[in-house]
Amino acid sequence: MNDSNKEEPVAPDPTDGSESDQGDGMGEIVNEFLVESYENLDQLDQDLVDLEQDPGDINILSSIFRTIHTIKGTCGFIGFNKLESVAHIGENLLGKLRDGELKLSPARTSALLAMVDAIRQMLSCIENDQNEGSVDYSGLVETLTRLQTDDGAAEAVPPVAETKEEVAVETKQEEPAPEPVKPSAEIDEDMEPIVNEFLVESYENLDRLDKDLIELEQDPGNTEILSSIFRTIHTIKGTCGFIGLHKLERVAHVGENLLGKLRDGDLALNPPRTSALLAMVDAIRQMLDCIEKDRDEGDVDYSKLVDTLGKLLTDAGCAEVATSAPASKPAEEKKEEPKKFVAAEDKKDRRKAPSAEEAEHIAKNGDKRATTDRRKETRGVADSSIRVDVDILDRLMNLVGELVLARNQILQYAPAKSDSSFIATSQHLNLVTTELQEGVMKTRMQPIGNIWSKFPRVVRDLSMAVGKKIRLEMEGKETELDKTLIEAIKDPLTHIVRNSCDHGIESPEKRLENGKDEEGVLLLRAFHEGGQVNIEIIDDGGGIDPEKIKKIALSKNVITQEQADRMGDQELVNLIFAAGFSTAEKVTNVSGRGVGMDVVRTNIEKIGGTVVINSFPGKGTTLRVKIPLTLAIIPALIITTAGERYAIPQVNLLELVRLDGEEAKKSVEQIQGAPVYRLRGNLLPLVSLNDALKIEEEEESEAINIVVLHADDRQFGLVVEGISDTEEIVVKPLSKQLKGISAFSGATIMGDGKLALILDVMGLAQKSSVISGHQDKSLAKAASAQGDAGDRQTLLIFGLEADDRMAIPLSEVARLEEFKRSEVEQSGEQDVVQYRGEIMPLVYLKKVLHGDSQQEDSPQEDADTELMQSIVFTKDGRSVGLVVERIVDIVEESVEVKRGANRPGVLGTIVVQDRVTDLLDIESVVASADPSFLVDTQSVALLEEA
Amino acid sequence: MTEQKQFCTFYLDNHMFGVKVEQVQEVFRYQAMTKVPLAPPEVRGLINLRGQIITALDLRRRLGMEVRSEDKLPMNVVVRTEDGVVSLLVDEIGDVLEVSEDVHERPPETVPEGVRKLVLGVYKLEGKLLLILDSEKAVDVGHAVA
Repeated sequence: MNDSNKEEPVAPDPTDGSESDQGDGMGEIVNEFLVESYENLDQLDQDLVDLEQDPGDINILSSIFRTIHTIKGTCGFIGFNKLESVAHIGENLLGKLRDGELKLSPARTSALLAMVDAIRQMLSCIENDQNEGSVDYSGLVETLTRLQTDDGAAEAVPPVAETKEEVAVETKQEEPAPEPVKPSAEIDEDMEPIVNEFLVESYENLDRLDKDLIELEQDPGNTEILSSIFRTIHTIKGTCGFIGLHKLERVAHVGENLLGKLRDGDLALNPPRTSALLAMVDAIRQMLDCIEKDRDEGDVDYSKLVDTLGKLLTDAGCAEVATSAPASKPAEEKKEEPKKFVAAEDKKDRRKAPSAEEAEHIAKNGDKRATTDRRKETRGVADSSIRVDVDILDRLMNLVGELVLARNQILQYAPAKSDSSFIATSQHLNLVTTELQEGVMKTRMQPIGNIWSKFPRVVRDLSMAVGKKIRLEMEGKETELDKTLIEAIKDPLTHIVRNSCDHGIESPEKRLENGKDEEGVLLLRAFHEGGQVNIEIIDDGGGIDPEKIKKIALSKNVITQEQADRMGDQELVNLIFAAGFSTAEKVTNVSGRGVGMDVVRTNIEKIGGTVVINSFPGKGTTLRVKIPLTLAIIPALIITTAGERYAIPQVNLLELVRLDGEEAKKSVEQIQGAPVYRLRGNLLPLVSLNDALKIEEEEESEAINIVVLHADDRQFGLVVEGISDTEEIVVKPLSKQLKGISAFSGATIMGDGKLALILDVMGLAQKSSVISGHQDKSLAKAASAQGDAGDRQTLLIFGLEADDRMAIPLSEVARLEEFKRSEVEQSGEQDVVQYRGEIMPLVYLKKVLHGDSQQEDSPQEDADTELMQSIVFTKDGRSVGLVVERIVDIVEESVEVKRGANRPGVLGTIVVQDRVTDLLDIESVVASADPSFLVDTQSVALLEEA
Repeated sequence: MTEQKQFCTFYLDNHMFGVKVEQVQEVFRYQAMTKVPLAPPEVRGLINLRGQIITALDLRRRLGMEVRSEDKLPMNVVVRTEDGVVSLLVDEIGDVLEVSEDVHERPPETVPEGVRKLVLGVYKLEGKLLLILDSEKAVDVGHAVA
């Protein structure tokens, strides 16, 4: 192995000769260090807070110790001495805590947290200016030092090189003995991710190490390579110690000692030393393999290697090793292994068997069973993850966007063609594109836990600062969303959390007074719903007092007295989102720095999200943030006006209202020239899209289409000429020349290759001054008034006869459609219509439910023009149209079945809007009318495939 | 040997204009555009150029020239600028010309302000003048629209 490595062509060292600290090669290392350290620090924050809760947890302590140790080591190597000295002191303190010499007190935790902050601060200085900044941390260092002299054993800061060795020795000597951490046995379940990470990292490092060592042999004086090697081994050693892989640690440790001497110039590199080091790399790799497969270091005995490395520490020993054929040493050692493992294998011990395979593999024993077993194994950790530049992912995402557009175009042409293979191909393309889109989107997804991990720290610091007791709970940490969105919601979320701690949760005394637990609970919850990510921040504090809000709003001139009198509680609560509003009675250092909830809301809305607040006085406050999964591709409603199409993002859409003929004229009323419509008793201001866009209206159309939108918690109706469809659109930004137009947020390419502008609902509303007034938001009000009685559902109300009412949950409804009778065709016994390029069976609900068929052929005269209302129900890609007499309304109601089913096709009877309404059992109706529909999907899919 | 520069030329109201060849991405015939309500008057619409959405600017309007008669369809000259790719609508496309630096002059002060601001210089060619368009400035429209 060693020999073959030596013969490999060696790339000339690019960093050769560059003596300066920040050479290009170094820059890369520094960057890597920064990325790694930032990650570590986030972890550290959480660990420290956890530790405070459970001061005895040696696992957490070791984890913290290791992180600081790694940072310290790297700093020393890169030459950030100030950072190193801070980390060093912290490490000393941590070491004592770990060894049980000292107890963790709040003062110590705070000092350690302060240290983490200091490190973070220096890291950001390094990131920006390539130096540690000029802040003086001697106070902190002093504090940290003082905190470890509980028993008067103050230590002077030892020089860098010594520190490393000292710590190394410390780790080696103390860890196996007194600690209750599992001593080199199998690895704890909790450690899994850490171990995997360690493996990936170490494999990467080892590959470099091989190359470095060989380069080093060619150029033994190159201290840079030596330092790099030293650092790699040091990192591996440190991590091993922490995870509890003591054998591996020991090997790395002697290697490190040797490397340290080489680096300091105490020893010169010669072939025996290089060989021994390479053997060490091989040994490490071998152990890593065992760990990966078995979570165990394997039973191979490396004491000879350790011995050799130890001897090589002195020149005399080196000579001795050299005489006893150094190159063959490691090989000999390995040859012993198979013998040992034959026995092990016999025992069929699960843990040992793979190690045996490994050993055999290395010894090239060629046991076929072993090798085939190996091949069958799943991909190794190092092969299963890969780091990718975010830019590449962005590009990929763009390309997928293009593909989606092309797919949409193809799909539009496909129904027009009679070529069945073309249709099949386009369907296949459709599927693959959708999957590809999902897949690519997944690569950019990150769990929200990544940003939540810093909240325990935030909450702890805050509660300490304001003298409250707050427990932070998190649900749905693993909920994923797009990386760019994660970044974007980080600050708003932090702000909300701070706010909840500062204003939401009361002081312990007040809580006790109100009969609550002294400790307040702040719950963070994230979940996916309806293609969106919901994040809830729930506190069990005092809620928001509308009266207090009113007073403050008045005193700050956010609203006028007149406005205040007209406002409901919910609206008053919503005022905390108004600009220039801060409810803090006194300005604390926590909040009240002029950045209010208005900024939070603006930032969330910038990424297409919404934020809603619900306050329950005395019980707490719930903030619900909804954000889209991704920004690039969004569902949108396509509308037309003046011959051009526009897209309205579905997030802003509430419902569609169509007013025909007479009704249209009657129901739109005017207040001083401002048109309004009564939507279920509430006034809905209307905005004509043509007016808003200053398009000249062509002619008065018969019907009025109102798109009910919400912007900034207000509802308004956008009057458009036509409503066509909903579609997934790819958002493209507008060029600079058009950026200033607030009515548009972008443009998209439609299926036919033409373009459509995307309406910015917020901008439109502002333009038409809908949201400067204070209109009631009926839905929110109704919802909060009714509280959480029963199971609320959105229901579609329809009728079959003159005066009856039936309902189905809106979630079951794919679309509402109108068909002319003339469009109905026959397929066997079944009435069908052509619908979106497919054949959709029609089910006459009246016939199914009432069993009367005589009605069917009565409307003959106007049969061709009569419109049939139908509810499209889709399942597994197949649709069926339920023909009903009329569509009445869409309501949100709590569904409480008053009476059980009394006839087939009806689930039960409920009361909706004070009227008795039958709840339709849609599946049974569909099944009874068309038994093949629900069952037959698979064979149909097969047909389509063919 | 004086420096030679290449310009892609086009015509606007019988004047020959040019932009540096390196800045021109492509040239294509008239294509239907999507109108943008509320846009500055120079913006004629949006064009779908192979999946890329680009803004089309009417150069005649931009230069304060007479508006092109309806029956004449403009051509698109797509230029790359710092603000992205923009299509300039022109009357006709000319040749790519190679001119030498020594026939270059600054535009005379008497040229109307609207044009002079956007012209980098004038090349005195045989029988005609070549006005070099400052494409960065030409596409710089529409900052303060509502």
